[in-house]
Amino acid sequence: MTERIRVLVADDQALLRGTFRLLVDSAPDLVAIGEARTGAEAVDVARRGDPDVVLMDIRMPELDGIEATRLICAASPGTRVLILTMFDLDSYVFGALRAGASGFLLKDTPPEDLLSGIRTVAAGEGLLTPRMTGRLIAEFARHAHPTAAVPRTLDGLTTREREVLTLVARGLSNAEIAGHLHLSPATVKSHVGHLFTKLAARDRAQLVIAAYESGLVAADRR
Amino acid sequence: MVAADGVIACVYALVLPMMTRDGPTPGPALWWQGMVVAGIALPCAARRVWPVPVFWTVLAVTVFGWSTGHLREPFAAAAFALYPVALADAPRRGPSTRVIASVSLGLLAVGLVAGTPVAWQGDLVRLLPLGPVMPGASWAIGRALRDRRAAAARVTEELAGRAVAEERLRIARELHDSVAHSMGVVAAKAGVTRLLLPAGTDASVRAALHTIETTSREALTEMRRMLGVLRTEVGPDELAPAPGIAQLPELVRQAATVGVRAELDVRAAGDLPDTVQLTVYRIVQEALTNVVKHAGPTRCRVVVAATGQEVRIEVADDGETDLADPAAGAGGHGLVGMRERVAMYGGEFSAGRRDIRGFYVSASLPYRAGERR
Repeated sequence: MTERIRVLVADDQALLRGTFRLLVDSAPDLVAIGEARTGAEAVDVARRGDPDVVLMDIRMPELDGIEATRLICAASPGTRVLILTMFDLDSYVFGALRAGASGFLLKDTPPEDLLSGIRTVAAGEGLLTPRMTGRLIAEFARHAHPTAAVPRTLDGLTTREREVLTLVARGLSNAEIAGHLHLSPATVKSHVGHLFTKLAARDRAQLVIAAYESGLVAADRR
Repeated sequence: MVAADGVIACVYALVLPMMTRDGPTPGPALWWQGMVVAGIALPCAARRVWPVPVFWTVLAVTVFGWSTGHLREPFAAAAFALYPVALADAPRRGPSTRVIASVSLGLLAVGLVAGTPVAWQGDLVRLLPLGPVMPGASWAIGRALRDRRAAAARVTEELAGRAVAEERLRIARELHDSVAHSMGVVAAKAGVTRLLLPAGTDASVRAALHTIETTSREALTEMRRMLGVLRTEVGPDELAPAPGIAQLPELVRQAATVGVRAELDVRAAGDLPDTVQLTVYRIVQEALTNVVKHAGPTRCRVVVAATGQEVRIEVADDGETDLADPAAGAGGHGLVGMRERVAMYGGEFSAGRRDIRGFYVSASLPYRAGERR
């Protein structure tokens, strides 16, 4: 078996910190390497403990979770941050993604989904709920500015890659895309890898933006 | 104000005979004249107390003085007495202020053309255009001021109403936020506990935890929706946790940087429920803000004392409060918020001047203790 995923839990509420730690330690492939009560503490523990994934609350004293995410992502590229918060406010989602977070989940997410979320993020995939992805697109629709230095065209993509990109833009994970297109997860992963390269995207959020800017998907207007 | 009117009335009673005596005709009987002068000048002292009777008395005696030739008073006293009548006039009654002003100006113009106003004569032809000029001007000015005051009062009322509404919105937002957090803890705890149940656990336990988990998650979803309505904009403090007792020293430090040296005394308040802690924090925050704004550099004492059933908050300063009545004036905005918050808990609130100097805010909030952790 491969090495266990090392997790740091950062939350100012002791009750939640303990609960999430318990959850992490219950999974055989995960291990909690520490806890942090403030954003500053999270930065400090992350630097010393070098976790694979940080479960990061946003509203914390001393340093908020978004700032802490920015510092951690800048200091250690190997560490992924999964935001775990009570509210999915737009400013939280966009702020966290800009700061370099790999994913965003609500604290009342069913524990099974939370565990798979940690694994998804540790594997280097982004994680957003379809609702958040939708709002992300809507946000870009609002601030659409035709200044893209590199015009994003999908000319170089295969039909299959376009299909995968459409589903990524809808907020689906690799496993879900595999289910949808009747492909193996490994195949989906390689398609996503090609998309990253061809579209010069750093993460899934950027793939979503590319999908929107090229007109492959349209903003969901409710 | 009434005392000033009294002084003016007496001075006028002394000046009036001089204006009368240097007339071209030999004066009438002195005692008669004295009576008329007193009848015109002295009621003016009470013009603010009984505006309408005073005005009619002064006007009647003035007209009598004129028509009998006892006096050539230029209706100054009548004008003086009419002013408070105009001020107290009910809105939208009688002629409009513009009409009064225009007619007065018109009469003045006619009077100027017809003859020199300085040569006051006893004839009624002169009196007709010029008599009402001064009272008319006074009436118009009084009415204009009344209209302006009424408008200012309306604006103040609207602002106060808006302040209350905004404050209630903020309180509702903070309360929902706090409850949502508690609900989130319930959902997370129930979910993780269910997942970690040992294999042989009774199915009913598992089902019960599942019910707690899903119900609290649904409630939380509703709370989020509610908060979406209440949240007008993302406030600057949304990235920090809701403040409580632990953040009080920070408030005191901030007050110190602007010259208010506050002494903080917290007794047994560490384990108050979150929402009560937040309320205590907000009240101390508003009270200290008021001290900073209205009392300037001073000393101030903050006491937060919990008994297990009730928490008392006292903020008292030694400063020279710069408002005539801080409870009603601009300083009232903060007080509105404090009052609203305390009312939400069914607590008691009072604020006002201290005996010697300074201002105090006192609040008590009942709560139920011992239910946390």
